[in-house]
Amino acid sequence: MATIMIDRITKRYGPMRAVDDLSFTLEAGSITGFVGANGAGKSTTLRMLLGLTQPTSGTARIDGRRYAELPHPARVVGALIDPDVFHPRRRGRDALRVLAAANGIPDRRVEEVLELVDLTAAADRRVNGYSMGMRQRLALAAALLGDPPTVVLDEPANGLDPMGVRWLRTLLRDLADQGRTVLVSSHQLAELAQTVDDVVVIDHGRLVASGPMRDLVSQGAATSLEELFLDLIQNGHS
Amino acid sequence: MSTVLSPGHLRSEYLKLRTLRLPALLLAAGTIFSAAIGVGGVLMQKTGATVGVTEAARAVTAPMWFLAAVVAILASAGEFQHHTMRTTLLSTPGRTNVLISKAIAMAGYGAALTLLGMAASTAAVLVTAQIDGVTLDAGGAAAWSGVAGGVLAGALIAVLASALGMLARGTALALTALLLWYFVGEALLPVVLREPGIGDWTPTGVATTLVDPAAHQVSTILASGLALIGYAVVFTSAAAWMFLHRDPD
Repeated sequence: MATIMIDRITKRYGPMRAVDDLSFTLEAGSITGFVGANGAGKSTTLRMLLGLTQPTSGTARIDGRRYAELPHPARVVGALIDPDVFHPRRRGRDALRVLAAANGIPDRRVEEVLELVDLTAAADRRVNGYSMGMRQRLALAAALLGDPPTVVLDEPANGLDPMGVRWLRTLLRDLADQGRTVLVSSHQLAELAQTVDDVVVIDHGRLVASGPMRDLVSQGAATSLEELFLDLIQNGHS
Repeated sequence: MSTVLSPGHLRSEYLKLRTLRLPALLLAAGTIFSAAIGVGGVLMQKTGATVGVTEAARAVTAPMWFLAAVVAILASAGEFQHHTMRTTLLSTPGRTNVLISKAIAMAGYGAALTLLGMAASTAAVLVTAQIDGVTLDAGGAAAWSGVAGGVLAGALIAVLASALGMLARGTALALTALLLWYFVGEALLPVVLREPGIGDWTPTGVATTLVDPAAHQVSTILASGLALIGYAVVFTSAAAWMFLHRDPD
């Protein structure tokens, strides 16, 4: 069964179409890179998938349900959409406890994810004392709180140092190896190419290409994901 | 379709208040301030005067309501300002559940703050009167029902302020609206409308009536209670409509 299904989804802001009749499906147990230029509609698509933005038309479903219909969403989908989504005066551990409580997740799981993202030592510090990388790790911890089978991450490597990026790469691979579906949106194509199995490329809100990354790269004249992306966008495949 | 409201949603809202310093600080400050008012109220009495126990309790309701409103605004508008509403909606996608659990948590905080303030003031009066040799009047059933009215009003005012915060989506705008209304609007309204009695039917006016039932007819008290509930319902409905129809940011 498909884990994530985007079906002819469109989002219009006045006359502008941020996302235009976009459809794709993700299968379980793979890492999919969601690629597009700035303003291509990646974040809007993810926000519609996660119920934060209402689509103008079309549907986004996770395990056959809209996000709002999931009884315990954190146990089904872990989402990182922005590292700056925690109250600056709340302690890191408390920020996670607040989210855990809403989904009936025990506090011991909070400790587990803090350990996983290497924030245990800083868990009693207030979030306004965290670096960008630490906030990103906290957001990642929040995404993994419910031990979800599906993980949706928007620019997860932002603010991470090279060691953090390598750590993230390993973490994402581990998550996929455990049979989870991982959808990662990123601008950092060279980094993404080392991590993902499949790619979904969008431009101006429309689907440009999708499929296994190696197949897409080898089909064209490109030698890398970055070249493939630039070729698709600059040659007006959209 | 949204899922059913669960105790977890309420616990999450409670933790949001519990894990920030300001709500606890204002709770402590409100208690100390109320005790000070109680002590001052006894010390300012002339020799041989009698002090009403419930009067001391009821005297602190207005400042407690104001503090409760400030916390409710910071808690609701702050969710938009700090973008925590995104994580709130990711963990509780049913927006109605978010609204209801927030309203319940705020009502609890408003009631607790008012009750604590009244209790501190009463305790301070009892101790100071004992030391100062001032005679106390325990008050009748009506006076004590005013205490209950004060707590109820504290809960409803916090709900109303929470809705205001959800509508404004910014703490500065919501707090400015609160301050303007509380210190200017309520005083100006009877003058502008040339209707002195209208002051009794503003949110603060009806809340004040609930605190002093001995001075009013039962029908007026009931109407005031209904009016305050009505204000909370209207504001919460407006906030709900906006929350359900507009994306969080």
